[in-house]
Amino acid sequence: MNNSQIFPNIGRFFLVALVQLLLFKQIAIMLGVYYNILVWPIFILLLPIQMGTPLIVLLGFLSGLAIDLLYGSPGLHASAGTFAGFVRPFVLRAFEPKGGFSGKEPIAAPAYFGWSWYIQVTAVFSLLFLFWFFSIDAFTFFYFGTIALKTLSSWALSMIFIVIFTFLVNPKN
Amino acid sequence: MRNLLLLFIRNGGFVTFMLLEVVCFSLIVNFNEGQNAIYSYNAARVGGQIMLWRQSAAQYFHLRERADSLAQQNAALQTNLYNLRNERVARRDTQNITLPDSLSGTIVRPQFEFIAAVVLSNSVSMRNNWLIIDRGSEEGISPNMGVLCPDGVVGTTRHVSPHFSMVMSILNPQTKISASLSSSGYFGSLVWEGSDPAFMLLRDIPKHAVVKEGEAIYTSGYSILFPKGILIGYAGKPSLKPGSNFYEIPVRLAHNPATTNDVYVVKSIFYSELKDLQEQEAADEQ
Repeated sequence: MNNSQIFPNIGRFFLVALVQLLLFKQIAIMLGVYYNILVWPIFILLLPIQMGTPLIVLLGFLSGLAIDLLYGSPGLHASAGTFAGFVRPFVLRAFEPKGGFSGKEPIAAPAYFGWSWYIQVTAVFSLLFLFWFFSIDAFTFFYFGTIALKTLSSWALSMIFIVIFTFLVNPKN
Repeated sequence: MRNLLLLFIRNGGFVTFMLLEVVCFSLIVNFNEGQNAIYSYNAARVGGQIMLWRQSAAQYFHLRERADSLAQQNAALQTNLYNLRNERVARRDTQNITLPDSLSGTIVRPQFEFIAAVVLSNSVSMRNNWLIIDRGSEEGISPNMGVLCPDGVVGTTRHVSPHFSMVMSILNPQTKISASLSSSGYFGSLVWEGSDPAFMLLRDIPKHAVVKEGEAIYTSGYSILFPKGILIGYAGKPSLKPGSNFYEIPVRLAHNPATTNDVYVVKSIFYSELKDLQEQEAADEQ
């Protein structure tokens, strides 16, 4: 990651954390237990494509820990963020364009790959994230039905806000 | 070494992931109530099972020793039984007998029953020491019963679940046992000061009593929990605080609390009756 990439990523993190706290958290509280809006994981998805997996995992952990401070749930977002960092390379590889990532595209953003591609990637990515998140939240698979229901309802809702957020920010590097 | 390094580089993502998840889980379990409850419940279940396995393995390796000690106890009991059969006088204190003495023709009144149990976990190094034994309310154990081992006093039951009980060890600052000197019969209360697990402290022995160093200390039988005359330990050098009228006597415990394994829970048959009596007295005083 060179200098021109560090600051956009840091800025993106603070922006997404702020919006997460001030807006999405409040809306989710109003909607009740089955809806949670988690947009912040796209920070992990939008880290540079060429970044090594261990570093992404570490950044996923740290950013999750920071979100945990805002939510007062030590370890919960951190665990899900770590998991998101770990699965990101698999998701990107699954959606690799023909001929692979060329290196000309610094991040997996709609500005380079188009909206249809971006929505597919974020859909898979945030579904995995949310499933892990609600599993850890329940901490037992005894309530698998509830976990699945929470995952799907929050997934649908989060996707809307992810698209809106990305559209407004339009990240390029 | 080089291969190990290569393995790490190739799977660095996975290794980092696993390490950080371990950190996350410990954070979650330590700082979130709901997850902590689930974790504790499962840990107790799994941990209890592992303790049982460990215990049965350990028991297997100590079979020889235990057979020996059981044989010794058996011998001691046989001796007692023989002596009692020869005894033609009805004894007033009949702590170890649960049957009418058919030879002497007298009916003895049993006062205590013994329930055998095995120690599952034990501690001696804490400030408050507890044991867990493998008998519970389904075997007739309730809170506030004395617990003995073949050569000493172990503690009193406090919390009871259907199959397990928590025993407050004598090595606990809350413990107070009524104990008496074997030579003169003066009695005091035995407490633990929270330092050396081999020693306890006998208090409230009046200073005109003659205390022989090394004499045996027995349970006095004045508390309802323990039968009279159970060996607790041996007296050390008595000390007298300036201005005090009572001795403080260090007592070297007869058994080693750290290796307690087989215990007997003392079920006092008249516990509730005596307790009621005491409560009536307390109510009258008010």
